[in-house]
Amino acid sequence: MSKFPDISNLRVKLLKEIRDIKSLDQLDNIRISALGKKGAVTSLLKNISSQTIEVRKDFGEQVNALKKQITDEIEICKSAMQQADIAKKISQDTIDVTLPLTNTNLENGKIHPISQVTEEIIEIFSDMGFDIAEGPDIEDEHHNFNSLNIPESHPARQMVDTFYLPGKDGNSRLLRTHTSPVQIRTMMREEPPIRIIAPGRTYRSDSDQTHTPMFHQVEGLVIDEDANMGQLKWCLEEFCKAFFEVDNIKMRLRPSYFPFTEPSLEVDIACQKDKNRLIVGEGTDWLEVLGSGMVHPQVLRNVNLDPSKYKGFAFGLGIDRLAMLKYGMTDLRSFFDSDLRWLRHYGFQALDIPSLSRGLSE
Amino acid sequence: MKFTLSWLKDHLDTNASLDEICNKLNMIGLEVEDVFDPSEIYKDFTVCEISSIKNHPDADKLKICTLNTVNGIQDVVCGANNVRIGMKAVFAPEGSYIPGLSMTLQATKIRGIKSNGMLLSERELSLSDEHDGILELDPKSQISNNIYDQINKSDPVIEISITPNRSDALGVRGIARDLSAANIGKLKPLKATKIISKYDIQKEIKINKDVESNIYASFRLIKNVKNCDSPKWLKSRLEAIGLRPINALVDVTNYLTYDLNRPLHVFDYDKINKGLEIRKAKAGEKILALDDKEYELSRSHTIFSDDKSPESIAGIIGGKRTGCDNGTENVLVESAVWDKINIANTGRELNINSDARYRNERGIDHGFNDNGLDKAVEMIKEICGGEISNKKSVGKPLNRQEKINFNLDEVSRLLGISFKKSDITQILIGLGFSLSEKNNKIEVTIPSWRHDISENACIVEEIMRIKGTDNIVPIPLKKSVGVSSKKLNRAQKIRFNVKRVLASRGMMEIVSYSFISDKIAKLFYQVNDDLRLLNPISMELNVMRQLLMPSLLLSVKKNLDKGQKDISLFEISNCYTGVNPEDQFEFASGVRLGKAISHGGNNDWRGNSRDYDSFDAKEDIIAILRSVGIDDGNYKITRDAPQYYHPGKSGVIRQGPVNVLGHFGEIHPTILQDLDIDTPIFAFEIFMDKISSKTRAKLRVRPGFTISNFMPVTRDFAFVINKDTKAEEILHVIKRIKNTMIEDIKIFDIYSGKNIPKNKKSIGVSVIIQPYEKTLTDPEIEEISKMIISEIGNKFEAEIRS
Repeated sequence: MSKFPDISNLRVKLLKEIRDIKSLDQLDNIRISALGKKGAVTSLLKNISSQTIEVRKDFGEQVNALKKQITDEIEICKSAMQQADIAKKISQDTIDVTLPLTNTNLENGKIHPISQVTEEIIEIFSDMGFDIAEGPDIEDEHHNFNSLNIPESHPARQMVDTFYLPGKDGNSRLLRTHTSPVQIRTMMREEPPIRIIAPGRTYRSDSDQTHTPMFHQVEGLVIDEDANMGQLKWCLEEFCKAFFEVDNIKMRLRPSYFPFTEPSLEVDIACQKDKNRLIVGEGTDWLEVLGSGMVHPQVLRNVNLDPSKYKGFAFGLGIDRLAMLKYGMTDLRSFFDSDLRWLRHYGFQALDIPSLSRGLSE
Repeated sequence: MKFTLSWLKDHLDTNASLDEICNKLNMIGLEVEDVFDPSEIYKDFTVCEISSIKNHPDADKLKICTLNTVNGIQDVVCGANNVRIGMKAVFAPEGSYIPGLSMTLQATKIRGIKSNGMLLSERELSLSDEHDGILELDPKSQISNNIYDQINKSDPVIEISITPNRSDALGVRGIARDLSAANIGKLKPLKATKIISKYDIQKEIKINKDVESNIYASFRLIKNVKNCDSPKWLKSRLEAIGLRPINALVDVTNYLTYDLNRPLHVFDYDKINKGLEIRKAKAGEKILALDDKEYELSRSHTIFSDDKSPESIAGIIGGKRTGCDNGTENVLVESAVWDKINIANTGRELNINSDARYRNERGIDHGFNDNGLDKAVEMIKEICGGEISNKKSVGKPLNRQEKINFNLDEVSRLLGISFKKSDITQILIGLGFSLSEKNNKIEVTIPSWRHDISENACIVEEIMRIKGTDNIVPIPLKKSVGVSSKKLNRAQKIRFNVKRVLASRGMMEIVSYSFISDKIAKLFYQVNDDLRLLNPISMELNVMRQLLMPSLLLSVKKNLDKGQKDISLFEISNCYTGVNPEDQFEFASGVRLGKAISHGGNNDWRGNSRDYDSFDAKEDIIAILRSVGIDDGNYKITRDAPQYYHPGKSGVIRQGPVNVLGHFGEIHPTILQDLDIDTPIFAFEIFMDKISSKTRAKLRVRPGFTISNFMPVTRDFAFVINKDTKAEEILHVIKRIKNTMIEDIKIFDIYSGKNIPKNKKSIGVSVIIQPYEKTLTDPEIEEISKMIISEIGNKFEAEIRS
């Protein structure tokens, strides 16, 4: 056996030192003293080449084994120290996860029920092929009354309380009492077939729990060669089912009167009160939801359409009223009160975009 | 229009129940508004006898009455002063509904004594307003369940609303006719009148040529009548429908108005000076009418006048002076057909709403005019006695027989279903049309009581409503083949999107009235007088708004007054520069005040809360612009916002020199002072029509894009620069440096104060340099930095801060 320096003392010494360290800094000092450029193990490694051929291999193997062992030990010890350090740190580092957070913008901002319900209505009717038409709030008697077969002496003019403006260039001006003038404007502008709805603001001089001087309507108009009452019934049934999101709806068509439709119908839907909740679609009570009818032949003549060729149907419904029925508001006036508390309660989140494929409100 | 069931049955032979009748009325277009059915309303009440009365131990005015009822002995506590032993009264047990109080009776203790029900007054029974003591029944009445006969209330009252076209249904007979056509019973024939008359009316009755040519009026005089109270049956019918009986002469005219839809007028013949003339009023003539009001007449009003003065506003209301009272001995009865339009105009001008006007302006049965007169005089003679004169008529009788050629195919063309021809003709005949047939066309003669039938569609309506709308079969609308196309135009889509952009930024959408008060409006702009309502509902809502801002600020004020502090509101709606359709334009407008609520509002334990400022309003407007594809480089910001903004803290978003997209900034303190708001408000407004018309939808295919594999380098610069230099100008100069590697520029700091000269500020700019071909070396970065420093230095006399 050739002789080469004994390294076992060094191993014992180093392992003991590693075991005894108190901090990562100490460990690093040991690493430097053993494995650094001038470290004890490093100098042994440098010493390998000076050994005799016979022992060089054995000696080399032993020193390298020592280096690996010390390196590993330092790594293990370092890792354990680090874990202990983190454990100590986080044991003192806690938060009260029950602390409440304030609302985000997405919860604070709300869409007004009228906007939401208008979009729901548009979503349904656009699926049935209706375009969205609009017209001015400030109208004249020609569009709001005369063209709709309501001449000045007509008792129907007393059915509504009209807001008047001074008039311009010899023409009367008034706030439209219904969205029906958009029918006239559309028929004057476009050739049949016509299929439109016209949502918007309407005005009548009235104010109580269910009437406000301004409210919202949607007008519907279909003009075609084959339009008929059966289509009107289908259209309204489909709308009511889709809007109230029920599979079946009990409806009642009551003959009625509007100067611009003939025959005219009012549409009731069945409902019942369940405690304070209104259930729509079934029951023994009836709720009036809209007015409708076949476009009066005189109205067609007024817009230069031939009533023997073209027919049409029209309907008008109250957006605010539909919103109240669907979402349970009881006082129409609060829609226009801008009370933040009411708006927070009844408003809709920005991302609740009505869509038929996702469900209108569910 | 009100009537009772038994009244209806005078004209209609039917076994149908009240429910069946009401259902049918609804389904044929005579909408039932209310039904008062005594057998329902009074079902819990019974006739009782008071068997003993004790004083209440703890209340002077209360008594404990022991009652004999059909359900045995009951004690009730009662405060009425007319109770006495042996008296018969109406007993309402616990749990019964009291119609006059609109409440259900609960078991209660009154001052410690249990009361097992209640003795009812007339008011509590909804019989009248009488509440002075309980209702005393006939002493002969039996203790029983049947109170109906005792209180003379067994006849159900039906109230229906009549649409303006159906003047014929303003009489009970017209309603009966409709029901009979719809197979609810059979219309009874109207009893023919037999008038025996022997003399002519002496006083002259004439018609002036100045009145409408279609007027026709008939008269009979009844001499020696004894005007008196009406018989009980007549009074109770009038009372049932809410009319107050006056005297027989007046009651008969009221009765026939409702029974046969035949408005009539009775003059006290002896009070007529010389004679009567139907003529146009002279301007300024006055009449004291039966409603005790004086009306000033004008040239357009048609009146009755005697030798002295106007005596009646024709077809609308009679005059007080020639009205009938209990002293009337000779009565002149008038039945006439007036000009509908003139009645409507006169009634509206004088603001008189009478039963006569209501019917005459809608049109009455001109074919029944003289029969109606005969009905009236016959009834008066029956009640008041007297001798009837020969008939005297003036004007032109209407013998109009309007006919329509009805094409049977119109039924299926309009309704989408066809009915048997025999069904159709039966319905029309039931409604009083007479028919004569030629090929597939039927010549239809319109009954004289129908004023609403002018063409085929009207006849189809008759068939539909009588046949029943349940017969209409739903027919699907044709759908476009394939996937449906988009339905919203760009403006509509942008409107809906912008609402959701703002809501997602924490703003609450409001919907406020389109009219505001001119007082508030004047704080913001000069009010256009064309936009003043002639008949506003109140002075708070008297002009159409030209801006949304006043409405928003008023909404803020209301919420502040209710204790809200951190407020963000917006509205998107129309405003008006004038009254023409093209003067309507759409604004989106928003306001913010208080603490930024998304950062915790007033009470954030994380300490993140901060006040809103003008830049929040700027952020709102820019969020809108970006959402429609108007990027930051596509507009300029100038400082000339409207005068309702703080001049130093507001801006205008412009594209080019004339096109203003919107404004933002702090609201002028004087406006807030006028509105009594003491918190600064930050607002914006944007012209929706401009942003939708000036922009196009983004390109679907995006431009090419290269991702760099090299680290970007950020270099920060702090320039000391003149105080009034705008940030935008600095950014603009750096952007214009021709170096494609300058990817982004940010301002990270604005500082003035210590170490900075008074007229200067320090502005910190962060430039991000993104190489695409190789990692940048220090000298290369240094070169770009130098370029930036020298450009800024040259343009703004800026120095780099050490």
